[in-house]
Amino acid sequence: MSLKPAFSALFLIGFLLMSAGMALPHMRALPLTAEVLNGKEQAAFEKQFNRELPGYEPIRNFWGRTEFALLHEGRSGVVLGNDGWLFSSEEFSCPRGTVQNISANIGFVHDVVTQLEQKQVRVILALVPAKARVMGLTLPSCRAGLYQQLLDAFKTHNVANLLTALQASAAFMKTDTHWSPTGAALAARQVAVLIGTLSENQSFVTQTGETKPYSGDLLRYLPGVAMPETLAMPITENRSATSLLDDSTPDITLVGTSYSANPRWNFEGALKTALQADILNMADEGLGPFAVMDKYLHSQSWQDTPPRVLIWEMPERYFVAPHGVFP
Amino acid sequence: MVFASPIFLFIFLPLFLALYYLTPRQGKSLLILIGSSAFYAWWRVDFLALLYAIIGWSWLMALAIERWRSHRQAIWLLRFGVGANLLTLGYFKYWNFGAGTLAPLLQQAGITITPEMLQVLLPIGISFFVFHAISYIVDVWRSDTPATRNLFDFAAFITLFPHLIAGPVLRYKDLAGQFTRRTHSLELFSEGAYRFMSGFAKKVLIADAVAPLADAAFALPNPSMADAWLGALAYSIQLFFDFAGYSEMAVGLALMMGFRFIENFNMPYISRSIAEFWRRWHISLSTWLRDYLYIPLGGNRKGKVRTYINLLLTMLLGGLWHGANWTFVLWGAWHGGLLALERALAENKTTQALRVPRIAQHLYCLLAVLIGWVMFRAHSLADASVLYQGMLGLNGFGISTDLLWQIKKNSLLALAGGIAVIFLQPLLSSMRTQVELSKGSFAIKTTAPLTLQIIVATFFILAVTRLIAMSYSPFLYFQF
Repeated sequence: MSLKPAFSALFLIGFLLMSAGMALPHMRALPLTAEVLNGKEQAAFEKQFNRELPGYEPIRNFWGRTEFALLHEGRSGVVLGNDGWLFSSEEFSCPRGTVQNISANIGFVHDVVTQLEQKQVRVILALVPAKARVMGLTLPSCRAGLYQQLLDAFKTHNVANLLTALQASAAFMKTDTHWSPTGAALAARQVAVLIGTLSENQSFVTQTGETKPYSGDLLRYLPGVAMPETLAMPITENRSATSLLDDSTPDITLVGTSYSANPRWNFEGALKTALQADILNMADEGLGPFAVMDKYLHSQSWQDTPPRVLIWEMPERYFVAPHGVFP
Repeated sequence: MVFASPIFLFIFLPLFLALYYLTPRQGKSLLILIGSSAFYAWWRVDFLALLYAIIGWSWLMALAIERWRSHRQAIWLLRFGVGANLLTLGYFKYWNFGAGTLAPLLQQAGITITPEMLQVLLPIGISFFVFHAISYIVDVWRSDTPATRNLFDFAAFITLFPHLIAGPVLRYKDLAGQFTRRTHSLELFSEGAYRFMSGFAKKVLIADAVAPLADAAFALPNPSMADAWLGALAYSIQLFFDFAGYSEMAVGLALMMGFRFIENFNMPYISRSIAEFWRRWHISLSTWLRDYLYIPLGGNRKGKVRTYINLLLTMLLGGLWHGANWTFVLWGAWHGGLLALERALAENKTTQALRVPRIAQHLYCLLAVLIGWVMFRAHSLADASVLYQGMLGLNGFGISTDLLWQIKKNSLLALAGGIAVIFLQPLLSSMRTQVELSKGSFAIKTTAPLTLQIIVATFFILAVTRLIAMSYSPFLYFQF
């Protein structure tokens, strides 16, 4: 008997039986609520269902490894360099409205710095260059001159040019968006030069911690791909001769993004060591430099004890995005 | 719910087909109605009320037309029947667009349009199921089909999930007989399975893979000539394989239930004129527009000038049907204008006199269609203008660094694959026979060779795994 008239039927029936057998145990009844009437419950269920599909992770990883091996590509969000270097596509994109966004964000920074200086706060702008720029990649037209544009825009303020400092080797993690502890330390020293000597009478020492394997955040865009690197997380100790009852708020506040907030890079500790002064770290992850500054200026800490010096860490790539304000 | 989703493939389809074949013949229409309602309700349960209202209204109006056809004022039943459907479509689809467009004028008249007033939700599939309903009412009026007294059959026709959300645009008269008499066989099911798997693979492996390239090009603020043409080409491939793939899945799903739908695409990119293009692209819509808009406007029966106007008007409204944006109107005007021009040249025997080589005719048609797709894809007239400026080389010629970093080999492979499939299509079609279902509409009716079936099945599995893999959407925690 010829298979031709029935092949596709048998194949699809077999496939549907197998897939239904695997997927049906993950079904659940949806309650008759307003969220079902307007479809939200169904959408949430479908999202969860997709993740719980048998074979989801192996299939996802198979495609990730195959695309990487055959095409040297990852998912949208990562740009692959040479020798295992990964870069965030956020450092390359030139969306519509870039020029206006840059102008608006520069304006916001000017307004905030002016506001802070009127309250006798000395503001240091720690402008973090794009990792792709530091590593010498060719950037698109809207990004190519951005760092210099920002330096020029802020030349009347105290701005730390971190580009040269970070061009030293190992300043960035290979598979992560962020700088390495070495890069953070280099940036901290550059900021400290700008601030100068402080008579804080404090003592901070940073030592290199244990070296451990590390998988950077950019590997999320290469599911299933292993690109091992290592990270030695520094540890900063306060060796100041201060009383345990001394709870005075530091005179220096750090506001910034995950470059400052994440203890892995120890930017806070590196600043303490470079300045030999304590620092209040008000940086936060996931908000960007403008919204986090907005959040800080609405905080009790700012209201009660404004600092003498404020270090505002801001990666250059955020300037092309629409201004995000802390709600 | 969409066909290319795990929930449809792993839960809905196997459950539905199992229940369908376990249900006796008399209950199949009811099962189709229940299953298709569940399919629609997966988007929103509350909008089932709108769908049922359209069904109920159209069914009743058709019965009323048949009952009172001989009455002097019966034409008003047609007008009410069609008018209510059009008003419904108009409100849900065009209120935001119309109010937003007229807002400056209304402001001068003292009427303020606030953003809250522009939040009318567009029900999925409304353009299709309203057109299905309108064609039914008109066909009953024209006595092309008797009004059905079987509400379940009619409701099953409107809600039939293979065509509910994205067509083909079907006529009740073409399917009415199939609701009462259709055969089910392993061979027919196999044909449907083959078409479904083929369409699925085209959509996931070609359309979805090319999409990022088109998106990147269309998002450029200053595209170069190469950027713009590459983007237009990518979108042409993406749109065709997305829509044709989806239509093929619909045809396949219908066949698995014993229904034979008309084919919606017939190698449109081999056309040599815009007139021919519209006999090959979205065939169900173009024939619908011909029968329910162009011909009632007078078609070509009222002189040359009126014919050109009718062509332009039909395509303008056809453009507007695609979406509530001036870009769709201009896209329709572009095609309408070209149709009128081609007709005028043919009538003056200019095209015959010029003896344009076939290759030039193909290139003309491809160029015209590609240029039109830019307007179709753009989010606004301003965005379209940016692309057109790029196509003219006003921003330079070579691929820009702005686009270069975004070009993925994956997308280029899919683009090349799509072009290859288009070139192979005439060969593949020669292996199948076509059967005419009604004037201007046809179905494909031969089982594909076994080798081709195995190839399609393989690509289907690849596409399913790709779909699962792409449901993973990573993001960096600090993105905002």
